[in-house]
Amino acid sequence: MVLLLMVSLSSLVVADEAGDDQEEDDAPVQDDEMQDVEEREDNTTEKEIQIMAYPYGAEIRLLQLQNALLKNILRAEMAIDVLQGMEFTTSELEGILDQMNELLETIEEVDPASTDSVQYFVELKHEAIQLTTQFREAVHALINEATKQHLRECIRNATSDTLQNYSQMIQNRIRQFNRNRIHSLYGIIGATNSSLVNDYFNGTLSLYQVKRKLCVMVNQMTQEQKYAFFSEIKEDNIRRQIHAQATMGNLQSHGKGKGSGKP
Amino acid sequence: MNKTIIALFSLILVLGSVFVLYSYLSQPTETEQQYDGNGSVSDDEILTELDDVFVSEDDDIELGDIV
Repeated sequence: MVLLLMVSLSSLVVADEAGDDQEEDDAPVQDDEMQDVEEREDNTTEKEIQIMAYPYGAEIRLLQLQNALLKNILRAEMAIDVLQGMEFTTSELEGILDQMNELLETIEEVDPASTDSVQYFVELKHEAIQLTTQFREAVHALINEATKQHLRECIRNATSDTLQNYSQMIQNRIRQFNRNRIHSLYGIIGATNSSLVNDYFNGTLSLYQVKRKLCVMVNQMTQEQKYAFFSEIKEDNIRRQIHAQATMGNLQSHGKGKGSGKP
Repeated sequence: MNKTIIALFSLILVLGSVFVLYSYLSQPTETEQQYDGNGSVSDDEILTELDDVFVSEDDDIELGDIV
């Protein structure tokens, strides 16, 4: 009898403790999700900064950041117009839009040749993501799902001449960057024929076709030369990855990765 | 006699295990097999590394959806 009483009391205690643990477990789930999102953002940014050590690399990344932010600004402006037409109060959204415009001006002032360009890029990109998230959450707080879908349709094709100019500039810089990389690979292969470089730069050949032609050149080498070529480009790739990891680590440990980013 | 047989059997077992373990550990890994003294590298491997050398022309930065 006493034994039965003890067993039932102990099971009650265990159930109570399990309940406490469940409450404690629910709270960190949201923090874990945010941490995952931040980790994915950091991993993507780490990959993006790898090219910034090369000529045109920093310029490409800063132009792409301006382009992405401008796209969101145009869509935000259109969203505000649509919501005002539906008689929603948009003062909070307009405040965030003002901050996005200020941020765009800040990014435009960054000198790609500066030694701090990587740090500025990381910080300003983070700020751009934060503002985009704030705007999105503020919109979601105002409207229902059906209105959200309608708004997405309205703003989908928001564009401007400035945006198209950015796209053109970015494509041009990417071609110049890739042209330089072809030259450096030529130096390793020992090739001198510049037709491949010119054909790529003037758009006759796509990047994929350039890579295939480089493979053909490499296959004409001896096995040892081919392996040496492969080792050299692999080593260079790994070196850039490590350097980018170290840079991100440095920025995060000095609290610079999520700062104001003002140059 | 029985003790001798058991001891012999145990010894054979131990030596056999050591031999199997040694063979397994000294087997070249997949990477080492690819990059052995012949230095053979496939086209796919070269193309994979070349992907990291260049920037794709449709490369973009994502900031998330505004709505």
